Amino acid sequence: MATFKTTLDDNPLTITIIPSSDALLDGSNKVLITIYNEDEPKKWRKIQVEEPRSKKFTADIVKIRLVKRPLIKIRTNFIVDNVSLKEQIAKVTTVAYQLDDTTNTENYVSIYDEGFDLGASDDETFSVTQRIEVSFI
Amino acid sequence: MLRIQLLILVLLSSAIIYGQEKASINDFNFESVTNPAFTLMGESPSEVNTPDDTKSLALYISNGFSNTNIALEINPYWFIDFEGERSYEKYRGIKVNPDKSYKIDPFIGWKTNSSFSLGYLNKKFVGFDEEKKVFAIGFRTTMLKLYNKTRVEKLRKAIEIVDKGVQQPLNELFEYYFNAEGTNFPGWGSCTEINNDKDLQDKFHQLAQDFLERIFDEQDPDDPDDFAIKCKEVLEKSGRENMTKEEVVSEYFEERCNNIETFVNNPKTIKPIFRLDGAIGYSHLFKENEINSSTASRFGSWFTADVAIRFNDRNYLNIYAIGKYLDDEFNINNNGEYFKEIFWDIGGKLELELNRIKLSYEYLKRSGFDNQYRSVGNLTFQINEKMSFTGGFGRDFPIVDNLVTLLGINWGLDMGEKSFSK
Repeated sequence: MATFKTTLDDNPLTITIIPSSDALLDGSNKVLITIYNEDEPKKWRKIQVEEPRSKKFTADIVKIRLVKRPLIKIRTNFIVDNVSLKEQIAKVTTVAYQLDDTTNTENYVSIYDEGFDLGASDDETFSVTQRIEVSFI
Repeated sequence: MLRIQLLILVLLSSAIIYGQEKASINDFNFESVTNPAFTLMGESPSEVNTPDDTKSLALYISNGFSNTNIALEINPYWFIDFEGERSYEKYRGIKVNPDKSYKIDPFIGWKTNSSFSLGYLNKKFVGFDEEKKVFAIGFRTTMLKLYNKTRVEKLRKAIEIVDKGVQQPLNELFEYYFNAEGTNFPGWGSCTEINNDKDLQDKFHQLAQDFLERIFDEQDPDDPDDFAIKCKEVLEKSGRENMTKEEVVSEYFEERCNNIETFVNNPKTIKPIFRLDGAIGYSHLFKENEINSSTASRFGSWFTADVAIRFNDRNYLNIYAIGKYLDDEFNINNNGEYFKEIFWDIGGKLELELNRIKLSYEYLKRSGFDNQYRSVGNLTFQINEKMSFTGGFGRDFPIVDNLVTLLGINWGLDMGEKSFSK
């Protein structure tokens, strides 16, 4: 799991997500961000995601919220128009993530098979999930 | 000349081997024998083909492995790392006009639907006493696709609906919940199975049960659950506090499935009103079946035009026209001497697509040979996503030994990879 090191201060942690895929971004929850604790994963909290321009998503997290829930899960949802192309398209799909706390910036890129969920073979949908642990120094 | 041909063979093989390093068994399909390498050899059930959405790699087998008749087809699009971001719109050639209306790039097929093929087979050609070893290379592409305003507008609406997603507040929240819990959005497969598949029903009913329990869980004042609070407000506002898990699931699926139905049938709904495909092939025959023996060649190039008349989203009548040029040295006279023929095949095909059934009839006339024509009827039944049944009957070009019969099942491979086993 990727780790982002930061200090606990008032600066917000800004996350930027840029998907690149021949599939269409799916639905009203195209990109979904939750924060959670490893011991209580079902008690996740929702993070508001904005789309300032087409296919670019951003979210701000107040760092204090990450003390209790230091794991960030970013899930991006896709849909293809021809189910026989799903795996093919998933293989060339990438999602780029950037975490920025004004003093430190880290970039991550999805890797096929790590966090890719192709779901049922007769569904046109698939998703890419990136987990990042925030470590306070 | 031989060196150049061997170089082409090595380059194409290298490209295919490179492709295989990135491929899995699911990239291959065994669904047809329509690639130009096999078409040039007369191994395709139909001379008139307009393939859609070619994958990175396709493996074709004619009459089984035992005859070592085999061809590989590769679509370079999937191996090129295009600069800039990929998008659905770029892949389908969709461009947005200043007035927000859509247009579709008529030449997008050159980029996304072009392929190279390489074939090798043992075949007893007409007039020959024995089988000959032959290899062939080919290239095909969709040269032109034209859409009318009605079909482009239908596509725009389908994309817009999927883009907006479910709009009912509780549906949107339930979708958020099960997605956060690790379940993908349902596609058309789940939509068609949700009322019949008990496991799928149980899975979503359990998710809905957990969703409702989370909404009505007692709140910790020091750690309030904004998501649950929001859901509770929505339920109370609509007077649905007693909503059951079954109602949550059925209402969500109703809206979701209505949203995606048009989009996931897109290969049909955005079918161009006119389409032009082109192919070129070159093959080599070893006269003595030895690598050092002298050779004969066959060159062909053909264009296929398709006018699609739409009855509804699933049913079309396709009218094809084909013009095919052949420079053919695969001919032998009674003295065992090879000779060349140059000719054009001109003809057409009618194809009726009715849900899972495809009925077609094709007729081609060979120029300069009064009695030579091809007249073949085909029937294909799609049994499921992976399997189809094909039958054909008719007459091929030669005056003698010209019966065309075809009966078989085409299948795809799914080795149950981890990625599909969620």
